[in-house]
Amino acid sequence: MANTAKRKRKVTVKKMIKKRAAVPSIAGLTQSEATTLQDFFAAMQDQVVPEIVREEEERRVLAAESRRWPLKS
Amino acid sequence: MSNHAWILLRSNADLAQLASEVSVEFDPSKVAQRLTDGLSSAVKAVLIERNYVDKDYRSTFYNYYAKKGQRYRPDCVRLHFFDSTVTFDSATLTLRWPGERLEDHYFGYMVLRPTGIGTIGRTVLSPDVRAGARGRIITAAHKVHVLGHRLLIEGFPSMDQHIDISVCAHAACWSILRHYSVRYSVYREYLTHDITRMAHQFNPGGLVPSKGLDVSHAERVFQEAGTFPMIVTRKNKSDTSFYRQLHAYVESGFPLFAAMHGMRHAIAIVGSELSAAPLGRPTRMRNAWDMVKSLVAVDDNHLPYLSVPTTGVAADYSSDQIDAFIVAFPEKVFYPADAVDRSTNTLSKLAPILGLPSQKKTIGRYFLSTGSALRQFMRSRVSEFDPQLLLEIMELPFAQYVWIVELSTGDEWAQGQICARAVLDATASLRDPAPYWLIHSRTRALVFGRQTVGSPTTGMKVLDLKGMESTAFTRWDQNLRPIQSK
Repeated sequence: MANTAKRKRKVTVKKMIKKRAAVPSIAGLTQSEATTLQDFFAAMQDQVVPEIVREEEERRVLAAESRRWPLKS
Repeated sequence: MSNHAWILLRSNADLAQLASEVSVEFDPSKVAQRLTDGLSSAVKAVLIERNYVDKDYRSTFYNYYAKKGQRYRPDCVRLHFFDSTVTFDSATLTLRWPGERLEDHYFGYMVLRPTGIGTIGRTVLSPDVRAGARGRIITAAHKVHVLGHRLLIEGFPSMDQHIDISVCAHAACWSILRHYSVRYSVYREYLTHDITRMAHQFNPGGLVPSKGLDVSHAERVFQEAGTFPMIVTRKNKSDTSFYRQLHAYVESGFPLFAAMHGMRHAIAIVGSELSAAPLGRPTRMRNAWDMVKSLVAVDDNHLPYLSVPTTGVAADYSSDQIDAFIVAFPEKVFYPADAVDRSTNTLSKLAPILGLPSQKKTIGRYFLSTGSALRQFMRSRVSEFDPQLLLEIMELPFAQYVWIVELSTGDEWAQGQICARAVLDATASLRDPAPYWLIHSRTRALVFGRQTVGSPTTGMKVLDLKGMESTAFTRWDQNLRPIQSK
């Protein structure tokens, strides 16, 4: 279990390094700022998007349950 | 008896005179008590309009009350509320007031139904004369005709449930949909009977006395009305993301259908009261929800604009009791508040480029608006922006709806200022890693073209902004109207 997690982390780090290596220069940004921007998009892609998708699925299930709540008073 | 009568109020206790002016089927004593408890002392006169034909009551009369053995009247009574400067001549049925506009002295109206119980019908009351109402609320301008005058009253519609044929959830749906029909020309008007019918898949034959609604029935009402409803349910009591989203939608100008499962009750949330300064020492990035002192509700058991505290036991209930809400979207909003909530925290990663404060010092606020409203807002504050930023905003090919994220420090929050604004595409997909149109601070702007799928930096522009270091950078508060208590 622990080894699997370690392997996954290694793959993610490799992906990040690969992405960083491919940072294109962006007019108006220094190379380090371009890297910061790339890191920002990587964080969105690797952390935020999966969290959003997971959260939406959880909310969808909860919404299905709440549809049956009676309201009367 | 004349169709019109005038009651002068030296104090709210004088509202008891309603009992002698209005017949018993309108339950005037109970109405007078509700008004005495809920109106401010700025209301100094009530014009009683008898034999008023109310379209909402008539819709239930034709479909239910007229079919009963008990005889019900087809007409209603309407009460109009005025300030101390207006006088009434009963011989000529003439209203007199100082200045040019009668509506500057008018506080709204309340229809009374001849149903014996639950008699308060369609009501549009100025929030300025509601005792205890605080904060900012969603309103629309409602047209009123009285004695040959055409007036407009800014408020949110409300009514009591009928009890026998409609319950709290019907009343909350009706309030929200009536607001939509007045505020947005794309939505038609739905009468009380329409709402009770829309809640069910088939017509069981006449209007069946209501045994209550489920949340799914309310969702169905909003679907039938041509909106795109989304149910958001709380995970547990510590689910602050739920409340951040709730607040974001209210700030966006969407009244919410809020369900309180434990109380089996539904209300409409139409506003909130924000604290001027942040409370406590921050340990993480804070959200505008952390600044909310109370929500403003339209609850069919009370006069409108009930203050619902975020915590505490002094009121009937607090926001803790709300465990689900329905937001009735227009078409073309695909990126929910949940997604904006998650992505807002990540903006701090851009601090080295945009010069943003640290996460702990930052308060985030987000709401939905339109691209054209953003352009209008910026055009009205030209002096706050570098002209090249203004130019970019005017040129960006926004989809109709955009999410706005505003960041500020505690000091800036207290002064109604911000330090950065991001504009997100409300039509972005959940899996879009770069849903941004634009992110800018006082010194820099990152403008994303969003013209090439899968390549957020293609066509991207970086602007070094000038002249914005010391100008005002105003928080955008356009969707809600501040309550000015009278």
